[in-house]
Formats: sequence, C-alpha cells, structure tokens
Amino acid sequence: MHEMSLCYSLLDTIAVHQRANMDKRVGIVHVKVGPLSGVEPDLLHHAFLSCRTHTIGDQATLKIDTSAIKVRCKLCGEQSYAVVNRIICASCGSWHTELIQGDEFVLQRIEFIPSEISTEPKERQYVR
Amino acid sequence: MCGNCGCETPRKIEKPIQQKTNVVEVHANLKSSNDTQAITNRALFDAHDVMVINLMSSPGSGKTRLLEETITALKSQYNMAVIEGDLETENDANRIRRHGVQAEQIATGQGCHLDANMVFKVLGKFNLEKLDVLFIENVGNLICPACFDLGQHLNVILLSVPEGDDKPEKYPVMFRAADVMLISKTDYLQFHDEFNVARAIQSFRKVGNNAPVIEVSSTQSNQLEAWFAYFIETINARDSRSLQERGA
Repeated sequence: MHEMSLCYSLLDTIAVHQRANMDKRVGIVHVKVGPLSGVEPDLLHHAFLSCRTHTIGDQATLKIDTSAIKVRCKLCGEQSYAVVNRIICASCGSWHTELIQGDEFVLQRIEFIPSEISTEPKERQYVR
Repeated sequence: MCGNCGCETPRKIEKPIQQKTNVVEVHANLKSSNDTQAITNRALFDAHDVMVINLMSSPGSGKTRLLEETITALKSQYNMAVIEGDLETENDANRIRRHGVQAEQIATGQGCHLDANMVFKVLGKFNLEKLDVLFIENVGNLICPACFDLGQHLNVILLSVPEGDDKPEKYPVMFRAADVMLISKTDYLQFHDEFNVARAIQSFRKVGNNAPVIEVSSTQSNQLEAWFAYFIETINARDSRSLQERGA
C-alpha cells in the first residue's frame, strides 16, 4: 500500500527535472529497487499506473531494476551476496554483517522525449 | 508471428525513437521527501532534549499495554507523552490519557503507516520543552512502517509469543530496523510450546541484526524490569552524550 505514497514522491522528483527540460515529455523512468527497501516492484508498477494519471508522467513508462543484497562481514571481512531473510556472511556464516547494497530505492535516470513525437504505443505496453 | 493473429507475417518493426531523447541522470533517493522531514523532526527533538521512541509490531502484540505499564512505573521520573497511530478510533489515546499523560491520536484512515509529515503536524500540540520522552506507537503492521523514518532515536519492535518465533525472517525489512526487540506476552509461553525463545532470537540474527532482545510480560509482576532497565540506561546514555557534546 505504501507504494502509492512512494509513487507520488517519485512523480514530484520527476517534476523537478521536467521543469529543466520544458519542451520535453517524460519517456522512460528508470528506478532501482533493492530487496530490503520495503518496496515491492510489482506493486510499485501498478501504483505508478494509477498515480501518473493527470501528472507530468501521464505517458511515462516505469522501468524497474532490482538489485541484489550484498554484505561485508565484520568478522572475516569478506564481501558476499545474501538473500533477504538470511543476511549472513556466505564465507564464514556470521550474522555480524554490514549491508553494502540492497536497501536502495533510487531514481536513476529519466529519458525525456521531444513533445512532438508521440510516445504512445498502439497498445499500452509498459516495460517492467 | 505478426502479433495480431499469429500468422507468419513478420511483426512490424517499430522504429526506435531514441535519436531525439535526452537522458537525465538523476540518482536521487526516492524516500528523500520523507527523510528530509524526518531530519527536521529529529533536529527539533534534539533541540528540546526529547528522546523519541518508535514502537512497531503487528496489531495486538501489546504495544499500548507496554506503554501503559511503562508510564505507570516511570512517570514520576520522566515526563512522557504519546503519539498514537491507528487507522480509526481514539481508543488507544484514551487508554494512555487515563494515566494522566498527554496522548494525541493520528487516525490514518486507510493509510498503513505513519510518516514524518504526519508526526510533524501533530507536534504542535505538545510542549516539547517539558517532555523527556515521546513515544510514537506506529500503526500495527510489520511491513510499511519500516520504510518511513519519523525522526525517532530508537526503534522498538515487539514480537508477541502467539505470533510465532519465525516472524523476523518472514518480515526481514521490519526486523532489520529494530534497535531492540521485545518478545512480549511471555506468559503465553506455557500454552505455546511451539514458540521457542532461542529460535526467535536466531531468526532475528538471521536478518543481520545484533540488537538486544528482551523478554517481557505486561500482565505479570516483575516481568518488565529488564525493559525498564534498558529504557533508563538508554536515556542516561543519551543524556550523558548530549552533555558531552555541549561541553565540547
């Protein structure tokens, strides 16, 4: 449910950048979502379709990249990948780990398109 | 295939419209609007020397009861107040007010969490100058509140015995956020032999959290002492830290 409020925050951020690109329309919006960010990519996608209506992102496409969880072990110093409910060192098995990557929810880049070119495909297909 | 009927006509290739697009690299944290407000809230709390504790758990795990017992035991030592978050009703705020402590209810309607702006809006009702501790009882939910910093200094998470000992690994984002985990309703341990405290702690460690774990029971006498001790110790540690900062 909180994906809705996060989408409004996303659209606010897009609006700031769109003002600097006045003649352009918002095309593809790339966001990165980590498994520990508390954001569910599918729900975010659905929320975006509802939230973008009558905003500057009206015809925008949301492209969601997911990242992996990466930790550094405080005991053995090794870096390894982890899964969401076993955030332990893959090398020595310790839970004294420090998160390097995996909790981000970041707007990476926005592709702006000149407004005279139609971006609307015949069927509404959105890259996931 | 053509994409319409499945015949062998090749699908019409749509020309990419890349030549005129311009790409703006942003790399902005999308929780920043909430986080900015949370930083403001925290600065406000620090300026008034108020320690803010965010209580999170499933609905019905004993947050309000824990607050009532904490207020009863410690209100002579600390000036406390409570912000209650629920979808509807003033019930929890009324329970707190019965103990002579100010409580403000935030009814979120269908909202699943409190955010930093909601907390800020209600802060005007408190005299922060006179407060030592402000509790924020978040909406009972193990998912959404974890994503929203409110400006608190301490996240307390309750895991009640009837919920089962594997909750941390089921809700890793929430339990990672904990600064301390309370295993509540330990009086139910005698009826729930499937709940194993050691297993609950192990599950909590699996999500990479090495925060302290305290067992509490609000209905039995002397079963909250460890929590009170932790609470007082945390406040004292904070006070001496802020004294040092001022001295320096």
